[in-house]
Amino acid sequence: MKKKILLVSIISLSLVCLFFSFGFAKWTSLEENSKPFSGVTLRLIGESLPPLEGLNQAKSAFEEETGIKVIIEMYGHQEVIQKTTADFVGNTGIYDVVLNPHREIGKIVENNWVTPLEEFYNNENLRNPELTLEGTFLSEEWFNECCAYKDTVYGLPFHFISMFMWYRYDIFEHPEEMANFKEEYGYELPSPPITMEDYLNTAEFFTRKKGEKLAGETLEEDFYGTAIQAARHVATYYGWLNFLYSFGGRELLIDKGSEYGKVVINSPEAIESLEYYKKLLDYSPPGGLTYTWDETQASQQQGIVAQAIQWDDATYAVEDPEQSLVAGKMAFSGTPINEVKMTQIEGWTMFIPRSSKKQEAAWLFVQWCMGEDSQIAQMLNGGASSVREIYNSEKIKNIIYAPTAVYLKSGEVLQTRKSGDKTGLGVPETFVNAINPSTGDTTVTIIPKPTFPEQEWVVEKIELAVNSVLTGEKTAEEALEWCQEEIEKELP
Amino acid sequence: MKARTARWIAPTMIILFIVSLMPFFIALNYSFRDISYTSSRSQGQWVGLDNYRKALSDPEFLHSLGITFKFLIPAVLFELILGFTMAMLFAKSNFKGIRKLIPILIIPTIIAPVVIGLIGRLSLNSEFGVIGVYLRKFGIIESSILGSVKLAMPAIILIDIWQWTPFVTVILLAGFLSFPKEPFEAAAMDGANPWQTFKHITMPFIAPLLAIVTLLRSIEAFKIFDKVWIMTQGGPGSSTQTSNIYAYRLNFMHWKLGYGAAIVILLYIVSFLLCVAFFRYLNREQIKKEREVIFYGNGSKKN
Repeated sequence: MKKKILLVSIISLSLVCLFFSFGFAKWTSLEENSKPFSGVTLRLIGESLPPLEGLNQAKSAFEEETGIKVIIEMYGHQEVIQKTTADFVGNTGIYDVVLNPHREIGKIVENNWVTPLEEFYNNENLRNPELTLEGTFLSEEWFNECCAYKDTVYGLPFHFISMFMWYRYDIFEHPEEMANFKEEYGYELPSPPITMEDYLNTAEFFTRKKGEKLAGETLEEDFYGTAIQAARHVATYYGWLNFLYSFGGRELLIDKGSEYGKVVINSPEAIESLEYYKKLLDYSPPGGLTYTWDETQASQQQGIVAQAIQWDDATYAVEDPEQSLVAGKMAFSGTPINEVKMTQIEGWTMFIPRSSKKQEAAWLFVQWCMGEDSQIAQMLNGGASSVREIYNSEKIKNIIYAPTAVYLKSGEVLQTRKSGDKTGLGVPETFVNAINPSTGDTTVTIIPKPTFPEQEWVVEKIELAVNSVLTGEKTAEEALEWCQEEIEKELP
Repeated sequence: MKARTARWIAPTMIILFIVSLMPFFIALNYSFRDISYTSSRSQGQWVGLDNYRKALSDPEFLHSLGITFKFLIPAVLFELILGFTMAMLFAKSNFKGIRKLIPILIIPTIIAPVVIGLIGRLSLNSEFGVIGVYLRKFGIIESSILGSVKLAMPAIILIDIWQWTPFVTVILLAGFLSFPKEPFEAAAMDGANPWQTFKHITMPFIAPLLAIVTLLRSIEAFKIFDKVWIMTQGGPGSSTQTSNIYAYRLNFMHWKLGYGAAIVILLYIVSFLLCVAFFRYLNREQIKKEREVIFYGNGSKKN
């Protein structure tokens, strides 16, 4: 009997040793540690934008090294959310890696749909020691909002994005335009506009009819001072937030996205910002009320708009000469300042669903995505990498918008741009030196958005309220009062 | 024999149950519960008729129902008038190429609604759309059509008329072409004028077909979703938010599956009542006869 027990013990011990020595050795290399998963196919879903296309092109290196196949599905913004939520609700396990905008984090965490990162991060057999969450990212605050919920980390950033100003420096810095502006408005044409007053004045100034002159040339079609997101679409929510925050307003008084603060969407600052936003519609293309991000971007690519507030990860299209008439004529600055010099936190995060049956292989891919090759591939396709180190790369240094994007997220100035420079590269010096009225110094205030589970309801109500003001159905006061009541009813 | 028939029917019935009845009963169950994936208060608990009570006093739902009828009534009415007129003209013209024309006529009807929506959205775009640009050029509109609270719904109705009028035309044309000639010849011999012929011969012949087309189009128009979603997403504001778009937003954007299910069930009830009303109208003669049988006995009314 004793012999039997001894034999069983020896066999068991041998099997355990064998298991750890072959299957789950401590981290040596991606190639070695991914061997147990060779032949596995992972399915990832994300938003159809050039940076994800960049990852799609770069993933072959991961596939070759690991033998793990990765299929990347790309859809529109809302479709990604709907498809992933349907996958989670049905527990179908179709997707192994899910990219979602960070405002969804409360919903997916509270419903227990995603696996906390620590389950992989603390596993020595799965974690590449080179990956660390401390000091890696552009902004800790950004990381905590995008990837963590109530102090637990649930994902890694696909990117950190924010909205900033795209402007045509070729016309803003044209001597004739500068002289005309000074004559008309009594001060120097600001390039870029620093305050909201500058923004409105320049939008009005550059709105011209076909046949008039612009920067010394006769216009063949109407030209517009700006383009805003005004359709009944989530783009309108994001678009207006820039103005709401800049005017000193908020949706709720919160310090973290997961908090339920007091609803203040009907504040005087919010009303003022919405009235201002509506004024911009007068200087936007005639189809403005149907504009989302796509149309705003297209109008800039066509060269019919002087300036607009847009996402930093969409600049690729406007800087690509094959797609854009204004490539090489654009520069990038922060959102104009009224009461706050600010930027809104946003990002897409890579989550691993609990329903996935290949979570460990999925983690290996997510981890690989944070590496240099993948991050550079995304940046070269117009990405907005969250990894600070990437911006030291020679390949990245000449990306026109990168210094402004980095400045807004981290406060770090990689390169400045002076008015009159021959390229758009660098964060405008005048914006860097601009005072933030809310702090009294030049720092940028980083503003978090709500991320609790009810956030989608809040977004929808704000979107509808803003749109109904822009269409003239309601006044700003009426719409935001209604919005306040609706949000208060819904939140606990 | 019966057992054999049942065996043949069983697979169909099982599939029907899985794809049609089961989702309906699941939705019915959800509609009595507080199920929401975007609310920290929701636990999936039984709430009885609360969702229905809430829906019947929900201004947004009632508004969306009103929008649905604002779309349905003019769209179906114009489709019937235009379709009827075109079918009658084709039938009267004795045009020999009519059979070849039908497949061409029906093209807009067989195109997927999503594509129709895209065609509408792109062609009405005021900066590059083939219709929108000219409307702006000639000063008929100042800004965008689909961005205007006043113009967005008429634009959707026009697109729907363009899509569905051929369907009405083809169905009614088939009816016109199958008319027996004798009653018309007899009427002509008796000296009936065109109006009398139309009123007393054409209309009674075509009425059942017209009623079926009206029923089909009304149900379809009541369910409208894809075209509106592609063209306006229910905007600007909520001026084109039909009840199905509202239900979609609740269920698949806010993930309020309990309340959303109650809305869907209510829409089903409205749709069902519409059908019943039409069927009763169609079979009114039959119903009248059945009632007479009940009250007076079989064939003994006058005795």
